[in-house]
Amino acid sequence: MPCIQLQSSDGEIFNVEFEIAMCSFTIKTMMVDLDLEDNCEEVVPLTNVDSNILRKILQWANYHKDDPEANPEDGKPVDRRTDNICEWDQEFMKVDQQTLYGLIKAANYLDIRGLMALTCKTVANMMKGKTEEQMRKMFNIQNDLTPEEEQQIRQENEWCEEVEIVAD
Amino acid sequence: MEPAYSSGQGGALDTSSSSTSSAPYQIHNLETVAEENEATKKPITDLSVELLVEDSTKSQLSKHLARLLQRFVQRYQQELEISSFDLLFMTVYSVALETGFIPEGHRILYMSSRLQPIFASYDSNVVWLFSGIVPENFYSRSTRSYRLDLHLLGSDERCSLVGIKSGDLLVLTFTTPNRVDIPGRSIILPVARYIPFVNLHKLGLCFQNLKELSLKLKNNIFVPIRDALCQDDDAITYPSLGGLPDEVVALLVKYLDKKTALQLSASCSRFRELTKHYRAQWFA
Repeated sequence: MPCIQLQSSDGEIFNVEFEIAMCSFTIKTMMVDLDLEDNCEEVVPLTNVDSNILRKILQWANYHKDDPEANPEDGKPVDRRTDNICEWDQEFMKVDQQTLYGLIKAANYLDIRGLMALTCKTVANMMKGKTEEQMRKMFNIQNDLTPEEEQQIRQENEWCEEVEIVAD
Repeated sequence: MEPAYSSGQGGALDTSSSSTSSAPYQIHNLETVAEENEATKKPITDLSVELLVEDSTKSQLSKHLARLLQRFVQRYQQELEISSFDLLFMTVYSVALETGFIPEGHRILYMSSRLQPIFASYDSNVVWLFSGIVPENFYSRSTRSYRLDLHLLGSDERCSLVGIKSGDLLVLTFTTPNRVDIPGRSIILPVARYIPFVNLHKLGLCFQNLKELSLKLKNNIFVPIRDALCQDDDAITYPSLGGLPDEVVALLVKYLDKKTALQLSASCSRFRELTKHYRAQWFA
């Protein structure tokens, strides 16, 4: 099995099967562009991804390597559900917040769509049913709104919800 | 009898635990550290490798925790009877290092941009460096408490990690003494849940539930303070919800139901701006 060597920002080198590294469109494009597919002696540095995050990503990619490849241009409406996360993925996403956001950023940078969807769904599920105050606390968001602005937003939001009821 | 940990002359490695001290910084060149560290590394093929404290197993502690504890035992076992509290406090310190905090009195120098971190996060070279330096003067016999002064990589703000022994519990507080606007965080750890007994010859056997411990520490004390400190610098690139780029937040919002999106929009001005488009859609 041909392998490629990926190096994290903090210098750990991972020997990765070609097929697994290809889950990243960024890496795939680079390999094709640089014509490295037959000759991957060189170590590929990933300067935005630390070793903990890269390891997690490779674990995920290894588990999902046989999944059917999602074609972004097949015109199907994008999946918006958040309750369809498989058991392995749920277990995989039991991580601290530093790792969670590290994964989102890395999935974005490496362009791994399946992982992007999984991480976004996980955050969406964490947010569900929370009030704005609970969200600030949970996600360490600093409240920079003035009391007047807060009041205005509250009114607007109430109005939004009323519109929904009328529309139903 | 309660031993004091302050008998040794800390010498060059002495951390300035008193706030009045103006001890010069010890500066570490990360290039050299990385070279030394890389000499101990092999390419990773097994992805279940013990990188972090949370990956530790009975047979194998994480590389850095094992190194720190070994040095700790070597340094102190002649002087005192090492207790499960000591081992737990060192484990907490190891998790703090993983979150990007380093001891006060030390500075990291980046000679080239290759190793410059893009954002405050886990860096195996930094953790490796400090897991080789055992803290001095961090225990006070009179107050039965531990104290370590830390600061976040890339920030000069002093953070204070205090652990107080109370029965079978270790009460940890993490604060930024010079910043009244950042609320301190605290957590209570039942020591026996993580370290049921002490065996200095087989350190790995002493520990259990380290994944739970690491998650608790990161989510409840280290990451919130780290995020609050990073917000100062308006650094958009640290790993947190507030640090995600706009296009990623936009993608995330698509997975929210209307009620949740409205709540998010009310949390701060940036999220209000980023959900504007979607709020407009609902009225269309």
